[in-house]
Amino acid sequence: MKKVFALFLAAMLLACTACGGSAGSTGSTGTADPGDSVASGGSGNTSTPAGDETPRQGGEIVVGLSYEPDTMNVYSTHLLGDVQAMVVEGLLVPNSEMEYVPVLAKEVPTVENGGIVMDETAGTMDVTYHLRDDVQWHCGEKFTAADVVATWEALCDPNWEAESKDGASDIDSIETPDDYTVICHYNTIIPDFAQTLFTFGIMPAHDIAGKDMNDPNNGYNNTPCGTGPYVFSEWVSGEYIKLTRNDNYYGDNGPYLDSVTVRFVVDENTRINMLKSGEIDFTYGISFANYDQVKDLPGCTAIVHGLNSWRYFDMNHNVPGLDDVNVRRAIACAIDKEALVNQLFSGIPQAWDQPWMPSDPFHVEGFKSEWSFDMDKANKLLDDAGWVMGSDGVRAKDGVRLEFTVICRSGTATDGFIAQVITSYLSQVGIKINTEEYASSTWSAKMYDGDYELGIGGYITSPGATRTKMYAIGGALNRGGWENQAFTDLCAKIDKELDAEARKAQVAEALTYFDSELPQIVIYANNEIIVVNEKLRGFSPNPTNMTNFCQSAGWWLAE
Amino acid sequence: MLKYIIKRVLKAIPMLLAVSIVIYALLQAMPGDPIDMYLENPSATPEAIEAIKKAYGLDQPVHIQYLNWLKGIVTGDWGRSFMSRRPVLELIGEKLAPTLQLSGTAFLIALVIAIPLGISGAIRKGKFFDNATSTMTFLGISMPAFWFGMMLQLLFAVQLQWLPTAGRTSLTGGDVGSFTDVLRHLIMPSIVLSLIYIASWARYARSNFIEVLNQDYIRTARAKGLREKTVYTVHALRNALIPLVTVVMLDIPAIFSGAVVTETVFAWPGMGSFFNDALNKQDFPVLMGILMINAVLVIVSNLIADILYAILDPRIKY
Amino acid sequence: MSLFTSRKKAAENVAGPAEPLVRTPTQQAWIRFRKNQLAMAGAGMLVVLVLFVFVGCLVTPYDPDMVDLTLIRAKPSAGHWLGCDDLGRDLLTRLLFGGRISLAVGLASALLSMTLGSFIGAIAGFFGGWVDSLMMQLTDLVLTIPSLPLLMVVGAVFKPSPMFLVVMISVLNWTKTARLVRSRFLTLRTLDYTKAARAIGAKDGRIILHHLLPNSLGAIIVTATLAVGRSIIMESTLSYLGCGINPPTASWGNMLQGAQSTMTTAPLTAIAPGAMILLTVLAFNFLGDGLDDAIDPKRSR
Repeated sequence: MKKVFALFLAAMLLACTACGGSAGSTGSTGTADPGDSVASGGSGNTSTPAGDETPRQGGEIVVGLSYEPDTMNVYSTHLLGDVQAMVVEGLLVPNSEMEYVPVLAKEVPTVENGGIVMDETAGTMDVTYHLRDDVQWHCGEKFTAADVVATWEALCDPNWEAESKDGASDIDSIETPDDYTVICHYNTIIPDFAQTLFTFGIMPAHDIAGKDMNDPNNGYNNTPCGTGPYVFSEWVSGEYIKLTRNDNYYGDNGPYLDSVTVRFVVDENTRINMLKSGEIDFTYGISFANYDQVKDLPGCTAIVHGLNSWRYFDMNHNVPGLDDVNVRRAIACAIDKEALVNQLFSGIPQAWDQPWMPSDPFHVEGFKSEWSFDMDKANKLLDDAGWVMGSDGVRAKDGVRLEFTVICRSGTATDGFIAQVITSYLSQVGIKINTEEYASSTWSAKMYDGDYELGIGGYITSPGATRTKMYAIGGALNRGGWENQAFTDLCAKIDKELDAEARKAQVAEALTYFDSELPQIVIYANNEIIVVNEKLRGFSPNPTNMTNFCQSAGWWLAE
Repeated sequence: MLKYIIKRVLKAIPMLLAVSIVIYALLQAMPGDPIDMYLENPSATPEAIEAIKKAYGLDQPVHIQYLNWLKGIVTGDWGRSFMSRRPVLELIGEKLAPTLQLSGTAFLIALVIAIPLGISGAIRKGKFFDNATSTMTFLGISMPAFWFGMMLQLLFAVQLQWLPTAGRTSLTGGDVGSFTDVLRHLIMPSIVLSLIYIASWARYARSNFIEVLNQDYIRTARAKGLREKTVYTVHALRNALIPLVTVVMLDIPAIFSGAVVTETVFAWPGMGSFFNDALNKQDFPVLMGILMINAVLVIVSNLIADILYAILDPRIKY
Repeated sequence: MSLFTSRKKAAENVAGPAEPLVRTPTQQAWIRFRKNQLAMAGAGMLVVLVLFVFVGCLVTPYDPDMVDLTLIRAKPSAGHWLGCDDLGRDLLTRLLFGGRISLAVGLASALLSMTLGSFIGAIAGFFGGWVDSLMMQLTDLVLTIPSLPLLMVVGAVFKPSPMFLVVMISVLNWTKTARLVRSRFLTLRTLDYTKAARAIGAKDGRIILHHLLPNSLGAIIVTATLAVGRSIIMESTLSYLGCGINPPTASWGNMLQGAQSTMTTAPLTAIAPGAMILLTVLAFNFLGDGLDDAIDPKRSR
């Protein structure tokens, strides 16, 4: 579950437009779901080249990115690794269906193919990767098992202040029987082993040896040597990063483009104007409110696709009033998610009741919350629980008034809109909501410190069923103080369960606790709006935090 | 005069010290810090966070942190960005040239347009020309930069395709980064940036000029039968410019840092957008660096304003 | 003369036609002001704006914050003259209620910063010496302290209210007036009439209030009228940063800020608040200009 947190940063970046102000937001928001291909009409899909088209060599594209990367090192970055994903590759990568596919490995290790061997009694497991033997680093050396070991060793070095080190300490040792076989001895059973380590990227042993990994200018962090389809060429501070084609790429599908240039354009409206004038060929993170602007742009195709991300309405259980489960249930009953999504956001996101997204294979099929929209039920719940409607239209009990403050990030129109709509719904059941908007960093701090009553925000995570960090007792992101032992126990099981079917059953059971006590209301499953040049072929959106750029070898431009 | 300047410069040192303390305290008082962002990352362990805090010196009491920072400033080590970990001075250095390019151009445009506009308005006071230019300048004041910038982009980049929408250079073509290439990218943002200053300076110029024209010495000059042109250029202009100097000089730092909106809208890689970015990420070392440079700029431009004042108006003595 | 109101004419008639016409400086200023077409237009616009906003708030049938998802970005109609915004709220109603806030914030903060700035500038410019340098150090300090972090910190601690905004904007804006007034005073205090006043034993306070301040009023008024518009625009930036007027409460600033993404699809959401800001700024500046000319007796040619 790698960087849930990327979302915060992405949102922050958006908020940066602050003064400049793209009201738009988003960043993290977007999403959707490949399966349902979403009701949003008009959006064609460039996902794959038409069968009879032959990829054309050549051409250049310019990507409009809403932020400037901090470093090219995938493990150090505090942001999503959009640009890095074209240069640096890992052993595996989640594809557009959120299933892991091999990249530098020949196959995905599973129990069936012998790649995963468990020792149930000791509580450990071994994961074996067979590596491709035809891969060459951009700087010319051969890619071997030594590189995988070097990557792990670098991550184990306590002096390296990398951010995404999770997984490294789960491995006790790595064995390399030959140059193209890697056996990782895990000291625990960890079904989601592919979420971070080795998936993020492999670093070249020869290039990082003896280098200070904390030094941003050490020659790897700023000009990485990777194995990806594009070679790092130039980074002009504040302006762009230029990548060129890797002519020695091992795959037989691409790369085709001569170059990919990533230009940093923070303001969303500016990016839309650049699409209109043809100055950029690709951008993502367009806010829902702008969908009307981009859906029919001449020369462009708008793609709406699912992200492993959702928008939530968080309720702090330590606040008097919100500690009553009936109040939380009534709040859920009073919110018409369908109307919110369809009318406010043009039906682009998908109303959703569980924190496992439609694009996630572990989501519970056909699940519908017991507390779906029903105003009468909401009022009845509150009446029954003894919350009496006051003369001012606000319910109260024992001196506690149902008046709360919701905090959301300023600069993200999306969250502000949700807050207003929910305010209006809840006023109809006698719950008064005040809105306070804060700058991103302040919002994060308040949420993290539990210094809030209600909060609107979002998560984006990597594939995998685990929700321990978010909702289990003691979870780092469980800031509202929800403490449910049964749910927590199930989380612990889910985290250790390799069998997909068993895991699904555990998720379904955990969901019943979640829906019964409602630590958080899931508002919708996020869909992302991507706009690409209509001539771009071979692109398929990626719902995970590995970003849309992780399978870029097959991209090509039609005449 | 030289004594005065030296005195002022010496005075500036405690001033800067005071400013740095105030800014440092303000930043520390901001809710949350960069470490909060790491905490949001579920993969960050407590040990890792401690290590990062230690590496950034954040484990020490605030006053020690401040003293360390101060020591760094004096010795030329302005710290490292919490985000990219690159030295602050190096980062600011990269942004300096684009910012000077943009704000310098905007400044010149504003100066060249505003003063003649204000003066010709004053001469034709109450006439159609005056009323028209007054209305135009007010229009300029009431347009938010993000809005005006967007309008220019839609017209000149999207509709007419005469100019590039944003950025500092083209990415393809033969003349990437050449003088004309940068110039083409510079046109729209510098117009947007200069607009508010054109408007406000033209108002001041007009107001001052009208005032001066009513002074007795101008009447005397007229009474002597001097030509209007001579009256304006020789007698009125100089005196009208004096109060304007204050206004213009005080706006210099504002142009420099005030490009936040414009630079963001036009994806201009300067200090404004950089500051904006750092503020949202609470990148303290970067913020401190930019703000201190800004502080120095304010003090220097104030000093220059006062010196110019004394040169232009001999009645003023320090 | 023809510009005299009938009331004044009547008053003259009572006084008797033989008596020489004597007008107080205020009357003279009023005459000069009336002659200025733009100034009168500005005053007229302001009256209309204020009436429009304050009376409008009373008669509108809608609640400015009432969300109606079925009316999102509705086109103008008989029921909703300007259509509806992103959340289906009546745009005209929000414009009226937003205007109340924006006008109040703009006026109050311009007044407050003008007063504060004039006071500090006057003291510095008049007394000079260590008072001057102390005051100017203070001004420099405030000028040098970055406004954004300041606003974010304070915004996080206090609940942003219109009054809070007025104070914040004033605290950030007074420095310019102070510098300007000071520079005027530095010049004026060397002029003969100041020396004359001092020679006849006038007290400092009297010299400042009766001689120096009136002679600097033109510059102060121009600054203040510009500041009204600037305050209204500043409020929009602050709204964006999370320390402005909090939604759902409308202000012209946050309406304009919020309309960026609908600028092309529902242009009225951006044009309406933009036009109101424009009209207000125009009106105040025309008015200020007129006052500037009217107050200075030497201006009449």
